Amino acid sequence: MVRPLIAPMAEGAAESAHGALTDKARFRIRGMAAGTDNIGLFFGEDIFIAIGSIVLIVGFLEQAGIRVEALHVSLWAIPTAIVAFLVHGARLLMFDRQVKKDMAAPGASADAEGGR
Amino acid sequence: MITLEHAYVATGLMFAAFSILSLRDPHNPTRFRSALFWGLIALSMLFGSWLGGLGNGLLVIALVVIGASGKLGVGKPATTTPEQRQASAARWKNALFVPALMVPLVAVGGTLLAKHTAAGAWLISPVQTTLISLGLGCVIALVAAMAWFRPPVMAPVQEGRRLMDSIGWAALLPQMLASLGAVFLAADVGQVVGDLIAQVIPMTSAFMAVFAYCAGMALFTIIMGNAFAAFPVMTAAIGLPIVVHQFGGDPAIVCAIGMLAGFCGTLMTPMAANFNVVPANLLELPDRNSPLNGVIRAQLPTAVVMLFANMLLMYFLAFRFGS
Repeated sequence: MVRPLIAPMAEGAAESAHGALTDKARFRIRGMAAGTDNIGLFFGEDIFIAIGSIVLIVGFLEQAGIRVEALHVSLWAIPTAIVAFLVHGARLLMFDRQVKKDMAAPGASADAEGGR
Repeated sequence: MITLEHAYVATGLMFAAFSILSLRDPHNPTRFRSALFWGLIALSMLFGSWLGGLGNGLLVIALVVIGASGKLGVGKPATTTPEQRQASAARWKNALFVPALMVPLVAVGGTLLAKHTAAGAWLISPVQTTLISLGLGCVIALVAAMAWFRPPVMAPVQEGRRLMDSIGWAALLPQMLASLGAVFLAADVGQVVGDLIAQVIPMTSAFMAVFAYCAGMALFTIIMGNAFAAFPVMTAAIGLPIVVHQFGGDPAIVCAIGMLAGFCGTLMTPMAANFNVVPANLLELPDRNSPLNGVIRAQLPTAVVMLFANMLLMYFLAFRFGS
């Protein structure tokens, strides 16, 4: 997902906003794109019931003599998903500002030595 | 009435088909091992209730032996060509997504119907309603897609086999680790681990127990690289005996949030190679070989904040709400 889709889109958006990217900025954007993909997946997937972790939880509890519904378990993954969305969303907004500041700094362009 | 046993039968028949098709596929380099592997899974799904503890246990050991004796090969299922797929995509456009969306709709809708209407309760068993509804959703979506798009008759099992071959034995990880958890519970491993942790973190209050469980999930995941592996150990050690039984936390909430606390650990560790190292390589990050590469550094702040958020959420939700 990240290699063909998210990273090129993020890099393209940054380039159209700030011009040619320094290597440092480019790699930071790529790292953030991969991290965002993981974070969205991890904290979002448990909301759906047909996912390995929910099956594991339901199966484990059943072995321990406690019967829970898969839907009930996935319901309680929603608060964490909302918090993760807010926390990482806020971080991405700050990241945007950071990239803007880095790119506006004197000598920051794709050709500049200082970018590395 | 549709019960979970029917869902097992449907899944078992699917794995039996994978097994037979693998056996007849000369392009699969490990066709006999693959056929045996999927065949044993089919056996346990279809007849698990009759095999008993010892029979199922031997079957699981056989699966592990097959899985550990080398990578399972990937077959070459005969399905549609890329050209046929493009033509189908051009013809049906976004309608192709409808069957995929039917699965969660039926899964959630069926659960609610079974809980709140007489007809639903008559149709679907009250035990594990969601999983039954999910199976029902898959069958209904399959029938709809077959009637609507008219793919080759064997397409569902052949494509399923392609998917299973590419996932390999990892597809069984949740089930295997759930049974490992059962063994841990039976062997009292949880007690031993729990005593060890209690020496570091005194779990004298509900909050300290929640803290120890979530931190333990994250730490163990950092070491193991996989929250699924940490879950049975930590839940048998702290989650169940202390947070649930001693302090009265709701098991569904405790386990759901505990697992998510483990995922915070996954975000911090190079041991979770497929999430943190593979993308760094694909994206050609200059520090891709360092233990704290660009992907992990990007994830770290969110992971730390989320770990504490999960502790607070568990503390404020698990003792207040519940079934």
